[in-house]
Amino acid sequence: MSRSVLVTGGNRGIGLAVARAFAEGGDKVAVTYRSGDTAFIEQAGLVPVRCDITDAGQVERACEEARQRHGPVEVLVANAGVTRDQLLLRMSEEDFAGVVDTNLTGAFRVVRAAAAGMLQARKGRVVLVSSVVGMSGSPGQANYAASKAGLIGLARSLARELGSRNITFNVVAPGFVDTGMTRDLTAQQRADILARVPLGRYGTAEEIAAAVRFLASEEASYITGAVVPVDGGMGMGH
Amino acid sequence: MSDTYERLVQLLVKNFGFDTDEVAREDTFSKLELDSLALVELTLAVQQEFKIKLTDDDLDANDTMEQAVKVIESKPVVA
Repeated sequence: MSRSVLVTGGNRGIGLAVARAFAEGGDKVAVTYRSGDTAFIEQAGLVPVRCDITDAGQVERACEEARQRHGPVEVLVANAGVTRDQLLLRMSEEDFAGVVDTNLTGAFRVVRAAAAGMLQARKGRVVLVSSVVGMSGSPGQANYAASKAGLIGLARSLARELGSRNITFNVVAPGFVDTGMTRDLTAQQRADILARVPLGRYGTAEEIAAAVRFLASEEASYITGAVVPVDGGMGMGH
Repeated sequence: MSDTYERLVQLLVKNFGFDTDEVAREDTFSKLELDSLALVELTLAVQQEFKIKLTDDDLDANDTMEQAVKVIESKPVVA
């Protein structure tokens, strides 16, 4: 079974690993990216679609491009995200709103753009990539954590709204994963984080991708509104 | 005479499992028990079937099938 899959922010890190996992499973995968080189994306058998997730028009066009290439989007992974860490009193409103605009409103935009096709097909799988800090909180990440917590409310509302049409919405909450986004942390920050991870190591992007792929699979047909932590046990209890 | 009504009924048959004789021209969507989500779906299906553009408010729960036919026929066909 080869499905039309769209992954936002699919040119690096977790998004790229997710896109590759679907492609390896035989799906037709389009990935949105904001900037950078695309040759390696194409080499991986993925279709790159340039898209600024903060621009509703571009998001609509990206979904349309995926539809033209691969058919209506059947599996959507909203993964695009940014950080702009800052302590509260130094965090500008722009720092806050900008992160929410990409991470949360961006997910809303792409879900809305893809939902019409899923409604008509009476089936669809949506996975939103959140973060362990969406539930636990994290100093210096009020904007990021708020946006990631917001994804849970978004997913659960839509799980209720569209469940009757066989469209599932689930959330994957990665913990500390070794990607470009986490490489900015100081050695001390990394050590502090590891001390809180029962499995005692960072996760890999592929380990996140495996959970995403499962939630989008036929086997996960009775799972919706779930938050699946993939965090080495870091967020237990939340 | 146009076939708009018959095509609209067929959309209800195809998308919502109605039998043709369960729908009448004077029935409102709410009498047919189409909820707000179903009206959104019907709007999408109508746009595709008739190649027209509808706004979110064009099909209202309190509209009858006959009124919906008039709305559909009032819209220009888009390419």
